[in-house]
Amino acid sequence: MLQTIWVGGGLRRRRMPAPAATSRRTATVSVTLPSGESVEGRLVQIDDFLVTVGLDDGTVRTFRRDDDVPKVVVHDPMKAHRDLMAVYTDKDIHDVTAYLVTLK
Amino acid sequence: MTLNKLLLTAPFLLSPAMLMGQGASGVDPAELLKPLKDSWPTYSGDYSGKRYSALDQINQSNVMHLTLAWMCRVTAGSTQVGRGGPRASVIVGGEGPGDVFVGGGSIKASALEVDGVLYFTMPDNAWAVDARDGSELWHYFWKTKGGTHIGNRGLGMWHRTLFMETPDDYLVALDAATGQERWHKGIADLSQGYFSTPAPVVVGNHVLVGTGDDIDAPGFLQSFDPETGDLQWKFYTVPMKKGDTGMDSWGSVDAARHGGGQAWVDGAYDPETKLYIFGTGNPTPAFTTGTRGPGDNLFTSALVAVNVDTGKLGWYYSTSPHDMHDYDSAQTPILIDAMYEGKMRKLVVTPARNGYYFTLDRVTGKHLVTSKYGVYTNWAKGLNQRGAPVYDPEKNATVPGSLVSPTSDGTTNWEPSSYSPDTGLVYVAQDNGFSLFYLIDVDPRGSMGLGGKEEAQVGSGGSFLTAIDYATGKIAWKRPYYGRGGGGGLLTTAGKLLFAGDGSENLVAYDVTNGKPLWHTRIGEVTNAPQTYMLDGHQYLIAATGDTLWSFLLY
Repeated sequence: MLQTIWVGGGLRRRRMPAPAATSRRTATVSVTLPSGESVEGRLVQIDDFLVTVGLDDGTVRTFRRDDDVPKVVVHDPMKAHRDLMAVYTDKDIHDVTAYLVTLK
Repeated sequence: MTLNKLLLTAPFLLSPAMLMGQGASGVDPAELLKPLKDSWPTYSGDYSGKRYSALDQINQSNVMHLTLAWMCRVTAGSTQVGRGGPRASVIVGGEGPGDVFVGGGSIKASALEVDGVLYFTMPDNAWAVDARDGSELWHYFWKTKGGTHIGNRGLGMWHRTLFMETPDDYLVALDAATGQERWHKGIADLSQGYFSTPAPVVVGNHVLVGTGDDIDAPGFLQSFDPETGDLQWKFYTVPMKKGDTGMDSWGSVDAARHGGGQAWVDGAYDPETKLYIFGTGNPTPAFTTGTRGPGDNLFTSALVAVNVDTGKLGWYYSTSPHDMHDYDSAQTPILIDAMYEGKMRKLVVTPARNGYYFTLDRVTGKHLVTSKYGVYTNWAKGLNQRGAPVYDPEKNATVPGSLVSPTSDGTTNWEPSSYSPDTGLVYVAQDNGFSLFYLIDVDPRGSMGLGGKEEAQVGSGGSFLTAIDYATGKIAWKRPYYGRGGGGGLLTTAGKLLFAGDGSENLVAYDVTNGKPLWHTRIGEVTNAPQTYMLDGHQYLIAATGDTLWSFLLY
C-alpha cells in the first residue's frame, strides 16, 4: 500500500483510473489575455477550447481558447514526479519503499 | 372527435412500419460488400473496418457550421414512461425472471442506419428511432438471467431481420419494422461465465457471433443461419483436443481447453478470400503462466482469419505471444489495399492493446511491419522472428510489484480505430497509463481467469490522438488530449475530417492531415464511435453520450 501511494503521487481510491496527464488536484494556471491582463489561480478545467481558473475568492473564471489565444501556462507540481515513472526501475521502486518503511 | 383531437391522435395510430415508409427493404447481404457511404448497415459501416465514409458534404470548409439536428435520450428497461414522458410501447422478451437489476448502461453501440431508421442497443435493450428526428419507433427489452452487462456493440441486419446478442448469451432475432421477436437461440453457457457483447456481423447467409468470458473457458466464434438461428459452425480459438493446430503451444490439453482467447469484439471481412479476420482475448490464467506452459498459447491475444463458409482456420498471428498482462488483441482490425514496398498489397493493420502496431498480409497472415506506438510501453524485451513482441519476465506481476505500461486496459481497447485512404494514415486514440502489478497468488498452478494479481493504476504518461503510417508503422503526428480522449472510437470521412470525443466532454472534428481541431460541441463524454449517413440530400453526423444519441447536420 505504501509503495502504491508514493508511486501514484498520493492516496487514491482503489481501482480508481490513473490520473490524466495533468493533475487537477494540484495544478495552477496562468492565463494572459491579449489585453495584457493576467489571471492566475487553481486549474479547474482545461481542454482545447476552454480553460477554467479557480480564484482565491472562491469564484471561477472561464476563458475561451482559440489556438494560442489567450496564452495559457499550466504549472503542475506533479509533472516531475509523473515523468519519473518512465525512468524508474522496479529495483528503484522497491529500494525507495524499503527506505520509507524504515522511517518513523 | 374534433379535427384537433384527430390530428393529435393520428401519429399514435401509425404503426412503426408506416412511419418507416413504404418499400423499406432492409439490408440485402450484397449491399454489405459496398464501401461505406450513404447508409450504415453493419457494425463498422462496411466490412473493411476502416470507418472511413466516402461522404464529403460536411468537409473542412464548412464543418464549423455543423449544427444540432436532434437528440434522443433513451430509457433502458421495461417501464413505459421515459424521461420525456410516455414512450413507444416496450416489447418484452427474454428468459429471465424480470427482476434482475442491471443498471442503466450507456450507448457503446454502433447504430445501424437503414431506410431512414437508426437501430442501436444497450445491454438487454434495442431501439429503432427515426433517423430524421430521433423519435422512438420501438423499443425491445430482454429480461436477463444475468451475465456481465459491460456493454453491447450493436446489431446485425439481414434483409428485415435484426440480430442482437445478450449478456446472458442469447442471439435474438427481431423484426426490423416492429421490434417483435422472431426467435432466440442460446449461444453460450452463462454458468461458465460467458457473456456476449459484440454486434453480430452478417456475411451472406451467415450471422457471425462472438462472445466473452473472464474466467477460464475456451473462446469461440460461431455462425448461425439468419432465418432459423441454427448453428452452422463453431470455431474454437484454442485447441480443444490432441492434434489440433496450436496444441504444442500449450502445457496440456486441459490447459488449452481452459485457455481463454475470447472473440469479444467484431472483426473485418475480406470478400475475395472469404476470410473473417478478428482479434482474440487474453490467455487464462491471465497474469501467470500457471499450467499454460512456456509456449505462445495459440490463438490467444492474436489476429485470427477464419473462412466464413467452413469455419476453418485460414491463418493466425500472435500479437502478444504468451501474454502476461491481459493485453487482449480483440480490437477490430482494418483491411486496406495499398502499396507496400512497391507493390499493391492486400493488408490488414491493427494498433493493438499492448502498445504495438502491426501490418500483415491479409491473404497469408505474413508479418510485414511492427512498431511500438505506445510512448512508454515497457513489458517486452524485443521482437521474435515473426515480428511479435517477446514478453519480459521481469515485467510480469511480482510479489513486490512491477511497474508496467500500458495498464491492463491497454494503450487502446475495444474502441474502433480508423483509416483514411486520403492520407494513408491509421488513426488511434492511445493512452499511456502505468500500473503496479502485484502477484497475490503464488500457487504455481495460477489463479482462474483474471485473478491472482492486484493492479494499482498509478499514473499516466499522457493520452494522444495518433496517426500512424501503415507502411512503416511510424507515427506521422500525435495530438495530446487533456483528458483520456478517443473513448468510443474514431471516424474519418472524404471531407478530410476525423471525428472523435476528446475525453473532455467535447465531440470534435479534426483536420485529418494534422489533428488540428476545426469544430467542436460540448455534449458530454462520447461513448461510441461517431458515425455518418446521408438522408434527403443531407449528411448527418451522430454520436452517443451515455444514454443519449446526438445528431448534427448542415442547414
